[in-house]
Parts: sequence; C-alpha cells; structure tokens
Amino acid sequence: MNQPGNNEQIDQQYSQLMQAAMERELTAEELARIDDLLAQNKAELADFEAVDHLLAKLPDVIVPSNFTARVLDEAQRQDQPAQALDQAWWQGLFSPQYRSIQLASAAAVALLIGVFGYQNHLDQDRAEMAESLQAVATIAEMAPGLLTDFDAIDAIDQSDPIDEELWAALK
Amino acid sequence: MADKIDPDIALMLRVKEGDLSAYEALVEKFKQPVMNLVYRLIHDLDEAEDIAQNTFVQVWKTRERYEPNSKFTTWLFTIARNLGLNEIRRRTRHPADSLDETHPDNDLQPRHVVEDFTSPIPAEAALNDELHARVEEAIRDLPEKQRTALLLCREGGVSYEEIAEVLGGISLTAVKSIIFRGRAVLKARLKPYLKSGDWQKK
Repeated sequence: MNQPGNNEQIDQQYSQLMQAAMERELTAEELARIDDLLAQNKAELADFEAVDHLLAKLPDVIVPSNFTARVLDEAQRQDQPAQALDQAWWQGLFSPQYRSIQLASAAAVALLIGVFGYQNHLDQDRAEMAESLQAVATIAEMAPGLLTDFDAIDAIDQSDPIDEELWAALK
Repeated sequence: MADKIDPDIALMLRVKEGDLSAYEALVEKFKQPVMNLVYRLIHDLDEAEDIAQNTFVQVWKTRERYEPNSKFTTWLFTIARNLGLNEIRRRTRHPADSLDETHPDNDLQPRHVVEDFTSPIPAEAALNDELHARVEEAIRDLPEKQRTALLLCREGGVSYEEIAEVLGGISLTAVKSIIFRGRAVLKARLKPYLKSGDWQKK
C-alpha cells in the first residue's frame, strides 16, 4: 500500500512530467515513467481514457454522395489533356490564343534572316577586296616597271583646267 | 510460407497499371477518413471536399511512381496532409479568406458532421451536440502536428510508425510525445465535461 508521503512524491513527479510535456518533447524514459505514474493514478487515467473515447466517437464528416464519381471524372479528365498533347502538341502553337507569341517569333525569325544576310554580304565584299589586292600585288611583283609612271598618270587626273589648256596649246 | 500482400497495396498496384475499378475501390474505402482528416485540419467543408478530391486525383496522377515500400494509407494521408497544409499556408498569406467566417466561435452546432440519430431524448441530443462542438473546437486549437497525430490515431489501423512518416519522418518517441501532449491539452480543455461524466452518456 502507498504511503501518503509516497503519493505526494508520485503526484509531484507526475506534475513535473506533465509540465515538461507541455514545454518540450519527452524522452522515451519520461514517456515510460508517465505510463507508470498514470497506472497508479486512476482518476487521471480515467480522464485520458475519456478523451480517447470522445475522439473516437467524433461524428464522421459528411462526404457528398457523388464524391467518388467526381473523383473518377476528374482523374479521367486529367488523363485526356496529356493524350491530346501527345497527338498534336505542335498544332496548339498555331491557335489564336498564342497570336502575340506567333508575331514575336515571326519578327525574331525575320530579324535573324536580315542579320545573317547582311553579315553574308559583308563577308562577300571583304573576300572580293582581298582578291583584288592580291591580284594587284601579284602584278607589281611580276613587273615593277608597270607602276613606274603611275604617279604621273595619276597626276593627270588631279590636274586643274589651266593645265588642260596648256596641254591643248602644246598639242 | 508466402507473405500475404496488404489488400490496399494490391489495389494500388492494380491502379498503377491503370485499373480504374481498383482506383474506385480505394476512393470508396478511404474517402471518409481522408475527409475527416482534411476537414479537421482546415475547418472548411467546401475546401475540405476539394482537397480530399485532389488527394485522390493526386494518387491517380502519380500512380506510376508508387512504390509499395510502406502502407498505402501512409502515402495517402501524407498527400492529404500536404494539401491541407498548403491550404493553411495560403490562408495565412491571404487572411481575407479566414476560416473563422464560416465557423464563428459562438456557433456550437456541428453543422458539418453526420448527426447522431441514435439519441432518443432531445435534451441529450443537444448535450451531445454541444460536447461534439467543444471537442471539435479543442481539436481546432491544437498545433497542427498534434491535431494530425491525434486524428490519425483516431482512424483505426494507423500505427505510430505510419504517423511518424506522415508527419515528415520524425522519430517514434517524438510521435508518442506529440500525441501525449495533444491528449493532455484536450483533457485540460474538456475537463468540465469529463468530470461531469457527460461523455459517458454518448
């Protein structure tokens, strides 16, 4: 039989553990100790059992009678878009809802074509220039005399009208 | 001796192969516990219906990824809880959608639950209704983990190990501690009813 002093000690231990339970996670040893203490405290044990009973007896929440049918419909509906997408995913890209994306894509493609064409044209010009320079360099190398009178001939182009009159008089 | 496969896992493995009748059987079997859990997590019947429905649709959508490593209900309740938590977070971000509007504190009538028609005396029925409302209220005020753990405990056949998994893979001791704390809080909140013995009349 428990002594009064012993009961007091049990109550104190129980209170301390209850306090700890409210403040932090209990250890396995503390949980086991609580079970032991509850076994000796019939009133507390009865209260816990009453709580369990109340929880167990809580009424079920109403589930609509068409719940399962709705779930099945939704599940099947979820499968359909995926199938449709597999069949012709690219066709959707041409639908009117994507008009702005279509226009932006067309503009981007046109811009790319323009940039590419211009770049190509520049490359072609550079190649032709290089080819001409190469030809001139080759001629100069083969016959340096050909370019001897080049400065005089070039000066004729730059001469003023008075020189042209003198030239005519001389003739 | 060959191991007997869990019937729910067997059904789910058929669902994985696209068997709609097996899926229907699972929905029929678990719609009530899922609704009970979700409704008591978020306390809004319309939203609870949508979330419960989405839980099962999610099962269907992800059926091909299902692996029978644990009980089917662990997977199911984990999906239900996650969707419920998403809804709670959404409502926290948008307080205008507060659930209190649909469940005022002074409303003691448990409008969203199945009525108990077995009570012959109207006064007793009223007392039952009040008690139910108080219990619902006390559960609603618990922190989410305690609430979920206690509600899963309430559903027969959900082990502590399963609850630990549903709560995000916490330890078994943590589950026991959470459940004990939840029961202790409920005991304190419902003390007047427990002492009066009203609960025994149910």
